[in-house]
Amino acid sequence: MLVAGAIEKCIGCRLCSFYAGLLSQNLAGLNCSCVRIDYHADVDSFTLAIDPGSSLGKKDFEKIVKLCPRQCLEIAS
Amino acid sequence: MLKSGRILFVNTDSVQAEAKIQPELSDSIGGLAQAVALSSLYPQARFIFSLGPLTGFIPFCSFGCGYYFIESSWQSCYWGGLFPSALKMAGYDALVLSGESSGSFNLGISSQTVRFGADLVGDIFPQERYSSHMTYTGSQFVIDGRMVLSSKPAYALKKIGISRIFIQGDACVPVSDGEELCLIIEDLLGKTRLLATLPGQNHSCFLCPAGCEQADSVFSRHTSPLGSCLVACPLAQPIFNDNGLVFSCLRALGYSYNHDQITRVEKFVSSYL
Repeated sequence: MLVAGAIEKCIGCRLCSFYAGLLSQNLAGLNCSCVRIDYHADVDSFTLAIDPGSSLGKKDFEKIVKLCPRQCLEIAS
Repeated sequence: MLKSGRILFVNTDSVQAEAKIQPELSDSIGGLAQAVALSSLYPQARFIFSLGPLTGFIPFCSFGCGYYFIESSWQSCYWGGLFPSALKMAGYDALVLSGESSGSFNLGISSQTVRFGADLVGDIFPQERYSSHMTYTGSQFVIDGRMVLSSKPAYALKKIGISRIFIQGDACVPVSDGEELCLIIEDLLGKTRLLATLPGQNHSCFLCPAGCEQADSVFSRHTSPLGSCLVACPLAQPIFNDNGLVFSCLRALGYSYNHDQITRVEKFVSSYL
C-alpha cells in the first residue's frame, strides 16, 4: 500500500497523481487518478489520498515512489 | 489528439458563455500563436488565455499565455501553477473574454458548465476537489492565493468586469500512448538540472519537481518562439531547444505536426516577441 511517509515535504507538483492515472488506465486528468493530492490553504499543507479500490499493484507503487521528486511517498507492507 | 480546438468564449456585456470548436486554429499549435489567431478572428476579445498542446501533460509545460488588449495594443504574459492545467483538464484550449462591464462577475468554469454568480465556490465547486482560482482582492489579482498578476493584465481583466475565475478541471482525458508518455515524463525529470533556476521549497507548478523561487512568477515575455506556443516554462528553454524531444512529446500525445509547420509558426511568432 502506498502511504504518505513524508507528506510534509510535498510541494504540490502532483506528478504522483498524474503518473498513477497513466499507469492505471492510460487516462490523464486531475480527477481520474487513484492518487489524489489536496492542498489545505488554512494550514498551508498537502494531504494524500489513495483510492482503496485501485487496480495498481506493488510494481506500479514502486514506480510512483521513485518518481516523486521529494520522496514524499513510501510503500507500507 | 488532445487539442480539441475547444474554445470558451465569455462576454460580460451579455452575461453569456459559449464553447465552440475552432478547427481552423489547429495550425497555430497553441500559446501565443493561437492567441494572436483568436484576436484576429474575434476583434471584440479583450483578454485571451491560451494554452499549449503540451499544457498539463508534459513536465515544464504547465504554463498558459495571457494575451490582452491595453493602451491600443495587444500584450502578452505567461504564468504556470495549476491554473492553466485546470483549464486544460476542463476541456478547453483557450478562454476568450470580452465585454466592458462596470459589474463584478465571478466566473465558474468546469467541463460541463459555466456559471456567473456571487458565491460560486462553496456551493457549486467543492473546494476539496482539484481546482484553481484567480481572485481580485481589491488592488490586485491573486492566483491560487500566491501568484500576483502584473498590473497591466490585471487592469485589462478588471476592465472586462471579472472579479474571480474559478476553474474545476474535472474531465478525464484518454491518452493514446500512456506508456510512451510515462517514459517521456521520466526522461524529462532527469533533465531538471538544465532548468535556469534552482530547486526550492515553493509550491510547484503542475508536473514540475523544482518548486523554484520563480514558481509564483508571472513572466512578462517569453524568449523562445516555440516555447511561447508550447507553452513551456521560460526557465526550461534549454530543455525544449531539443527539437527531437519536442516532436517526441507531441507524438506521444497524438499530434502530427511536421517540421515545416513548426518552422512556419516560429517565424510567425518571432515578430510578436
